[in-house]
Amino acid sequence: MEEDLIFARFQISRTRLVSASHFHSRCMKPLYIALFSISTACSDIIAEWNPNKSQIENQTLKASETPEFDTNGNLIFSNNQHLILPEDSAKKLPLNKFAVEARVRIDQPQRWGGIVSYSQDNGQYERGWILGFNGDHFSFRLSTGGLLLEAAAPQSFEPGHWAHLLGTYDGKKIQLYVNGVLASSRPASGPIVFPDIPTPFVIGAYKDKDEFYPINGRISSVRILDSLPSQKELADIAKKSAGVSFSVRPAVRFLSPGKALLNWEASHPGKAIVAYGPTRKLGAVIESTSENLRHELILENLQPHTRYSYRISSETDDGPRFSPIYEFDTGMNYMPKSLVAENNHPAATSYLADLPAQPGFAVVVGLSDGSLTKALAAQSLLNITAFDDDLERVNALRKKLYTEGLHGTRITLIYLPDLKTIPLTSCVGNLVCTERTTLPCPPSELARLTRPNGGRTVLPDGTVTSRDPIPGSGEWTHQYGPPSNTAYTGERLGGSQASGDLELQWIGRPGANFGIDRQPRMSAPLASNGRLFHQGLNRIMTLDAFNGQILWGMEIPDLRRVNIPHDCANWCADDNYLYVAIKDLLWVLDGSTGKRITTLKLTADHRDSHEWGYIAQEGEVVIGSSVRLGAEFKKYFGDAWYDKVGRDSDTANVLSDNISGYSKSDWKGRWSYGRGLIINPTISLSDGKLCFLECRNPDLKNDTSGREATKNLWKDIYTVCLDANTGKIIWEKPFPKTLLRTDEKGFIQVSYGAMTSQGFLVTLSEGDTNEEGKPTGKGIFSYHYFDLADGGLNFQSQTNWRANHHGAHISHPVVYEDKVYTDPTGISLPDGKPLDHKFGPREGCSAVVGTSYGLLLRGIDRCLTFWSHDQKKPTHWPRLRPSCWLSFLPSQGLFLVPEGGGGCSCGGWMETSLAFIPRNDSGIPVSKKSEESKK
Amino acid sequence: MHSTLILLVLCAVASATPWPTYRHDNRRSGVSSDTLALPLAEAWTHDGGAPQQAWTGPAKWDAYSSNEGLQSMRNFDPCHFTTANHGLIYFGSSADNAVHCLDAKTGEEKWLHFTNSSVRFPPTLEGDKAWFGSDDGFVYCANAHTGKPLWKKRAAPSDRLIPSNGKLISPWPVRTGVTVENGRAWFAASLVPWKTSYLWCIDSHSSEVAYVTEHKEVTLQGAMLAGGDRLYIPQGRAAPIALDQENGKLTGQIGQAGGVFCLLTEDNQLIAGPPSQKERDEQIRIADTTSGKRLTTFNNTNRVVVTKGKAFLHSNDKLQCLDLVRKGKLEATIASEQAALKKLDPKIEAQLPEIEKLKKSISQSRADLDGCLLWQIDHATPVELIIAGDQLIAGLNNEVIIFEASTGKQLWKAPVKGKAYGLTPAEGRLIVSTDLGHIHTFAPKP
Repeated sequence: MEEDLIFARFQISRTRLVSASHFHSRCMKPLYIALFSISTACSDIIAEWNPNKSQIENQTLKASETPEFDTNGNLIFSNNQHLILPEDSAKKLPLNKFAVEARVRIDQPQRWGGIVSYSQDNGQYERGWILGFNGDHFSFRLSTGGLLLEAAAPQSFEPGHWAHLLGTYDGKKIQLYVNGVLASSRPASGPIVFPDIPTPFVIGAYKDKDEFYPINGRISSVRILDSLPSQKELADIAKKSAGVSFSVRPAVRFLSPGKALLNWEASHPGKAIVAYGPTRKLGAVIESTSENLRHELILENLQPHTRYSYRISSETDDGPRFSPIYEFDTGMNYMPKSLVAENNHPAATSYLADLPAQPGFAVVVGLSDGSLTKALAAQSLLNITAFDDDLERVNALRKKLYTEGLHGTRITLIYLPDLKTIPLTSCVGNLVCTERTTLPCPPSELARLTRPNGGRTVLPDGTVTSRDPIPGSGEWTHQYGPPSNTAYTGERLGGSQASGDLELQWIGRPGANFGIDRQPRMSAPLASNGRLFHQGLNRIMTLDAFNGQILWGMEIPDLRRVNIPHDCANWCADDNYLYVAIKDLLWVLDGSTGKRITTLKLTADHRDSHEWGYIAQEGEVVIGSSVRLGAEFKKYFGDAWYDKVGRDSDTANVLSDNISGYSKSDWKGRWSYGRGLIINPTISLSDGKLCFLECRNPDLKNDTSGREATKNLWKDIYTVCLDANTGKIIWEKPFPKTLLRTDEKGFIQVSYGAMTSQGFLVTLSEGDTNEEGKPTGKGIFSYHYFDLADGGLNFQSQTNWRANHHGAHISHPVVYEDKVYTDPTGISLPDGKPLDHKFGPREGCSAVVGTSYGLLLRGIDRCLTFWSHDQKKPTHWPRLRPSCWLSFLPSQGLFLVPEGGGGCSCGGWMETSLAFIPRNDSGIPVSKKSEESKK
Repeated sequence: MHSTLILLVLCAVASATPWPTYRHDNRRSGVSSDTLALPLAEAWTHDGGAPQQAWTGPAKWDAYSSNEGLQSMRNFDPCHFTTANHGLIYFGSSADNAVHCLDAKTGEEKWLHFTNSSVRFPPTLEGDKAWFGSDDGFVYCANAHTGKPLWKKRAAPSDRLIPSNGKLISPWPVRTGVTVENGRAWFAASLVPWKTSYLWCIDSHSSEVAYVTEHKEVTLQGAMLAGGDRLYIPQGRAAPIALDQENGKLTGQIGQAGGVFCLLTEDNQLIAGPPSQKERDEQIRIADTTSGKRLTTFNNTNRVVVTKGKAFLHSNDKLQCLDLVRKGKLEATIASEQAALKKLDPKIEAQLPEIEKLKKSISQSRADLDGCLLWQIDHATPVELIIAGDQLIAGLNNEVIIFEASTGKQLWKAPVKGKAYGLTPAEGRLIVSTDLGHIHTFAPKP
């Protein structure tokens, strides 16, 4: 099982392998036509190697290190293991036309991984070719005398999955095929120029005069041919490479300790089987009993804190098809243990009626016999803390609960001599009640402890009250707060202006093991209706914003999207739902449980060729867009900050081919607009108007991969405003001249859209170039403000970059009605005049967000910092590191800081999720002194 | 018959040593003087419930630096560690918030004492007293034999509670354990560096407060150590701090150290790790607590135990025993000769003989370092190593193994459920705590 099962049925033919790790004589008939090899005549094969046990042991191939083999006999490439091919081999390499083919499994993305290489890359001296990868993208690089030219796959490869690679050169272009599908092509001409200095010909590493990059993984075969594949041969490879076809991609949702639900929808009917286990050897096999396309399998008896692998197979007319091996981590399963309710406790039933059936926190003030407390635990998933003033009773009940295995896990009893004031932070309880007939504290104390946004207080007489949201709190439902992208929701944070004005509300999971690595430029967390949604490494976790209780967790292999500054987030939320873009679908998940309610599809013409791009919601409308397959950014390993000044790959935006409106009432599409190429980070939605920048260059529309550097993109740009309910154009205007960039010089590093109540603000980061076209390192933020009523240009203005690194020059604006901040200053609205002050210090890569009284950012000592509007001064939280884009939200009346910095191996970071509550709302008595200082 | 009796008596005497605090003593040496009588057989197992750790594991990788396998630096509570004395075994529970006392012979629960939140270190036993701290921000003292509460002190500056991982904790939990020495008991209340942390010292007899000191921008977590006139408190991802026992004042940070695995040698060298997540392998370093300088680095190592001038550790798939004294001397020689070499100028002809001499000497010393390896055997990576007399005991995944310390010869092994993070050889028994919450007790076969 170590190797893909898809290859298993061809094992017989592979056992007939010749010991052909040598160059074929031109007339030798090949004894082996591998499954994914091109079915060429024998004379086309120049060389073939199979780095396996037999070839290593018979010295046909010589391993550099003591060889280790997997269960299929493949040489394990790890540490420094690599194979040096005989020097004569390189002399026979074709110059004008050839193909190099390899079947590989890369276990670890890295910089400059070499699968087969005969090359030198020494400054300006670049020679030869390399079939390999950089980060998690396969690439084929080749020199015809100048620098190495690269054809790189835009899509990331999945570590641990076998792939068929084919690099070709025909004298005119370099092409890379992944699993028989053209992944990248670029022009080149002339014969290949090989190194004229001693150069090793290597399998399993890139190695030249002074560089050595060995890989981690397997290479089962390498062949070099002096002919190119036919379309039929490529189609055959693609067909054989195809795995399971999904109509809804798989996801694992945790149900209880040791138990998870795996679900997916197949594209075709047929028997489905899942193999899974704690190693890549899988082990357990479970068959779906579903007779339709929808499959739901319960995985039970899962070990805790274990990374499981699984693979789905399905029967087709052509035989079994297999998915890649996916993973889920039970270390992310924080679901509470369910209890068996002994009897239906009427009071508990009443108290819990209509309360969302989800984990949460309940507070009981004053015990009687403990039966209500126990029943509440049994009839719900709430964690219950009961306070009582009778030590004897508390100890007796504790022992009873302990013997039943409940104390400390689902129920905790706390002795408190005086119940009038509970020493618990405010706004915690999803349910707050008493077991007693007389309330042992003022009703206001129960109300204080009750969580806003629907938390329930039950008084002894049965009176039930539901707590409203905290006044002055804001909903962070989209990447930058509201769908208008202002990074400010109106959140007042109780008037807080400094870090000391906020107290810890909760602290805990998820921790550093949840994320990707500093959550690099990925989608921000969201907060809505008392819930906090957070994305990690191909996973979602939803927490109660007020008590940190994890409500549900889901592992979704196809979730990841990064480089949001040049794209848009892959999710948004409202009071009830979480909307998540997964491949070509929008998943609508129940916000409280994670259950998938429905899926929305792209427009019919884009379903096979596009993926879901932009996502937003407002009122009864959901907005989505189509981006071309492979256009989205997924790379996070290595240099993946996407902010290198002027570099094409770091100025490239993801573009949508169309944008559509859907109705929440029936989840059906209402309208679709598609003309040019919509620049995703500029799409903004507010009060029924949808604004964006659109490139109407027809040539680019026909020729783009869906991701374009601004030098190609910035022609025929229009500002467009649609009616979000109908899709009709309200106004459209050619975009005015940019302030620094021209057609001859400069570039646009990022472009953002945001809306106030009056206008559509386009903020561009424009970089300068010198006469040679190289970035000077200087640049500006330019602001272009359009009247929302008719698209008229209100003003254009600019401020200078503070720095050109660590995200300073890609700062997303914080937009208030009367001012805009980028970095280190901004402009006033509506006149566009530069502000008379700066904020900061801002350090590190994170974005900046606003509250009514200040800015929150990564600042002092690269820690989370609160900069006060009034005092123009920063205060900070030492050793609290946010992510490298946006992982902190002022929302719900809280300052929510889910973990985002894990992976940053320097610094003594706290690596935890937490939330702050304004001191005034925390239940901590406010001293006269602090009240006075407020005034 | 007579000689057998004598032997039994000797064994009984030899195996009377208690394990009164986390990792045996306040230097957290993990060394007990008593050799266990083998073979052992499992006497009983107690299911303490799955530990609820304070922090999650580390990030999967530092992807930017292509640095995988980041080390956990705050893994101070992976199991229910135990202490033992007078035929009783104690543990604090992060699961059920209680301190438990079990009969060492039968596993029967003698008493339990609830706190309001997780207890992350076992009670420290001093005379008839059992001392322990809790995430509820309090420190407790109970009668070690009966569990009767004797004393309770709020170490946190307020009684405020906040949610954390499904429980309520104080914003100033006590996660250092309680260190008792020379009639004084120390503990700290601390969580986040933007809040002041508190170090307490009390008279362990009268329970009166000797002093309390405030410390800014620290997170005090992990078992406190005491040695010489200093206290040392780990901080996880930041360097441990050193404090004056007499007044609780900060004397400095041990910059070469980090993590929560810390032990103090008899000559007050701090062995700790991992120092940071930047290193691509797991490291444990020995630092001079006076100068703060690094003395030695053990690469690819997660645990070290030191006794009688020998260091036992696991590195590169091998369990090893090193002559630490000789290694230290050689490394000191190399360091001083390298320093001397730096001062010389190869362009000055007169200095060339001295340069050559030093180079030769350094080369020889480096070669001699190989001779510091006393034995090594191929072995899986343990999660804990301790010494019991002449035995080296290794805790592994689902297994515990006893080796002859002088040779590395395997003497005994037994299966356990889970990773054996906690090893307590005490009073002739071996108590093994695992990450699944199990406490296995092995006793000599009757």
